[in-house]
Amino acid sequence: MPKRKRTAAGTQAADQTAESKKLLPQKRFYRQRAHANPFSDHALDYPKSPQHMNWDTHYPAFVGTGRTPEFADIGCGFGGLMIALATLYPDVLVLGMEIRVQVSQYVQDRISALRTADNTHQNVSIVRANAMKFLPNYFPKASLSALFFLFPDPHFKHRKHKARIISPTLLAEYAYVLRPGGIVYTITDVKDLHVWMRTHLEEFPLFEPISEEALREEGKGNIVDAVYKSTEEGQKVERNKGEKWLACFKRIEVPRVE
Amino acid sequence: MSDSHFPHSLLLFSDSGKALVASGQHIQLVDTRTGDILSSTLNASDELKTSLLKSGPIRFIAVDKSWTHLLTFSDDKMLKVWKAEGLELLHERELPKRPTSAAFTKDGQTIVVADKFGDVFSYPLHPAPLVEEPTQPQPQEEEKEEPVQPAEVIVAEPEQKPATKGKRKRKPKNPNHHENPPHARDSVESHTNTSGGTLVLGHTSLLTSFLFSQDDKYIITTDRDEHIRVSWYPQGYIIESFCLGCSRFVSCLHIPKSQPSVLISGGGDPEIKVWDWHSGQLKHDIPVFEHVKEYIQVKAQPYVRKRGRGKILVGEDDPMNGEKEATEEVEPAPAHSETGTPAVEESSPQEETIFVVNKIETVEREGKLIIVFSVIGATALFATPFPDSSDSSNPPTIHTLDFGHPILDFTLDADGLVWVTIDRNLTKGSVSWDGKTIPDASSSSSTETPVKVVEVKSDGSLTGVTPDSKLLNTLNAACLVPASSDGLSKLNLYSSLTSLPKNNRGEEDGGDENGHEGEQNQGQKKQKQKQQQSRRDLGPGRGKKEEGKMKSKIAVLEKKKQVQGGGSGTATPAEPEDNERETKRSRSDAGDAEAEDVTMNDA
Repeated sequence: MPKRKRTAAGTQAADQTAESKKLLPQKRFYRQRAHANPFSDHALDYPKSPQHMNWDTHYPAFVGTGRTPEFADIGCGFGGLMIALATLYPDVLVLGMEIRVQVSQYVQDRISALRTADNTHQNVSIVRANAMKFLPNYFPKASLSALFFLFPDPHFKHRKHKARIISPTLLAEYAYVLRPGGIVYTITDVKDLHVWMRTHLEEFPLFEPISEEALREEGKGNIVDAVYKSTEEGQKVERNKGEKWLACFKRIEVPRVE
Repeated sequence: MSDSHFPHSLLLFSDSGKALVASGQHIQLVDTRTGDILSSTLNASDELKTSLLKSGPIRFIAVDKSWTHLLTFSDDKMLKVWKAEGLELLHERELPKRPTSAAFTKDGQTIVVADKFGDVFSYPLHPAPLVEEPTQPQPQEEEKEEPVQPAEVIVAEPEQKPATKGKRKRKPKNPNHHENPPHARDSVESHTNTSGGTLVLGHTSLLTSFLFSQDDKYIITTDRDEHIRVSWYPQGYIIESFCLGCSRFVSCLHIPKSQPSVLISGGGDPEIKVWDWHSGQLKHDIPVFEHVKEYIQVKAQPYVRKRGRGKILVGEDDPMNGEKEATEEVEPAPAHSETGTPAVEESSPQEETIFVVNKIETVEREGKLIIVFSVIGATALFATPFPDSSDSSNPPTIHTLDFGHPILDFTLDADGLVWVTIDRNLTKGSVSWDGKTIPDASSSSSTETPVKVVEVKSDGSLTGVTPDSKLLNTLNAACLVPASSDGLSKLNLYSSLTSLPKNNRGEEDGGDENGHEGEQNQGQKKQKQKQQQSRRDLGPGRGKKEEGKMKSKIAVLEKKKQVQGGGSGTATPAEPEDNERETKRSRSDAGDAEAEDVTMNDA
């Protein structure tokens, strides 16, 4: 899949005025290879615990509201989903996590530009983080209502499957940060990965599948649409006429087995 | 070394008058009253002895509550289960990854094992009988947790036991992990499961230790990435809490018998931490490092990168492994950050004091709880009163008792005396990045007894005692296992000094392809092994990239000034950021992080 290595430039948010376009960072200056080893000791800066996390610097417009992120986009890439969610849910704090330095810098600069140009997107932010290791350092138990895994690295080789963002052991941590009723959104253009994610989520006792229709009935159609269409990867798949597989799950509770 | 005996690396006491001692690859069972050696693997069959030798030094022993069975592991992936009486090896199983810690459940029927990959599996005490003959390497495994149990060797009697091949046999037997495994890319198997274990939970980090709550309803696991996780047991997928707040790896855990809701943890942090584990709340920090550091006589040598990155030690199947075997200073690198050559670095290794708490226990004395702990490579035993919630302001008193040789293990007997084993072959030394112990020139072995007994007073003070004990005599004489210098050199008793600290000052993650990303993340040393890359980064390409980034950034700043009427408050925060970017060549990670914050800040 050499395609993945290059992310097409020029998919800037369409609704920008010419002036604010000038402010937006250009992707071609932030390219980076698509894969990162989640197991290695990256030089990361992360809070010791959620209490040590100061969200004020990330969401200065929300200082004093006591709000903390409720949506987390794991592997947010160039940030398309967050940019879309920001205007759909202006009161919900959205945090993107991205392990690649360049890409996370791009998203930062992008958010910074959008905030400056239009005073919008105050409710989105990004951290460079390894979510496979440090998710609980950012989010307290049951603090999130949605988790997004959109077009994650497929790690095609079997030997690399353990580096996939969805695994039976990691699902426990996702369930921990999600509140009961919270939704996990997954989408990919790689069929094998879709089967993998769906299988593991279905088998995990704390998640139950929820159909796209049910989500739309719950009023989450706008999220589903954003999941399909707003990410850079998603748009690329569309351009290439690829297929997209969506699978969503709801966090449920189970009693203790005696 | 004049002393040609293995030190006792592990020592355990039962409630029923038995002691187990591990020395090198051997274990011995001793009657604590009579001092008689009840059984010893020294008397085992030659076959078993060869097998033990091959597996290497005993790294871990766990015994079930009734002392009916015990388990051991060494430097390979084999989990050996023994009948305590007679030290009869019942069977050994191949685990998916190198184990780091294990325990029996209360009923003694289940074994729970934590491994280097970060997973916890549970296994029945005895392997299920093989139903189907596993036919050679399975061509296609469609099942997910594939229940093939190829690696079990069931041995009726150790005398005729052929379960010897240990390391060697796993290669052909475990096809799951090798370079070109017969696995379809659409397989949904997430974990190799060599011996039919049940996956309980997993971290994305080496598990250093774990323990059960006293009622066995929770399992508390801890990893190299500062986490302490409290999960339900056996429903390990339900996380009750995280005890977060550590800034370095956690290496040991303890729950005092009299206070089952309390968890005491130690690791690379300068404090010993006391938690309410159910809520994850930190109750006390006991600063100990300042008192301890002068006793740490085994230092860590800095990591010298010789070959290509990541290739140095990569185990055949464990990517986490390869990268973590390298040293990293706990404190920011001292000197040569900027432009020293690799040669300079190699020739001036600066040994570092690395703090790793090895073991924590508590003793009750006149109603007072005393925390007793040992530190890897430290020659003294330490004790401190359990912090009183009322006067947390007072700095704690740390009591020490120095033995002149590094302490390997300690254990409490029924009377609350502390039995300490020391490494009398060493007084001073260092550990290389691959875990080898290198004795200092001034280090000498001595005729000290290898086991010491210590009394803990109610104020926490420690006094050496010499009880008239047959057990002590046995441990100090009859139990000594002769060792060749080769055997001693393989002990690597202090390897965690270099394996636990993080190795992230080297080049970073994947940014290499595009130039400077890797560079800017490099720690303070080491950056120039990638000179080619630097050269590339210095080239015009790099400048263009940075220019391109700056262009839109400057535009943002100007716009901001415009909007906010040119208030200096908006412009200034950008300065440090720009500087950071400019001085990226000094690759300060912190700088990068700062820049990150600033960006968000000034938005």
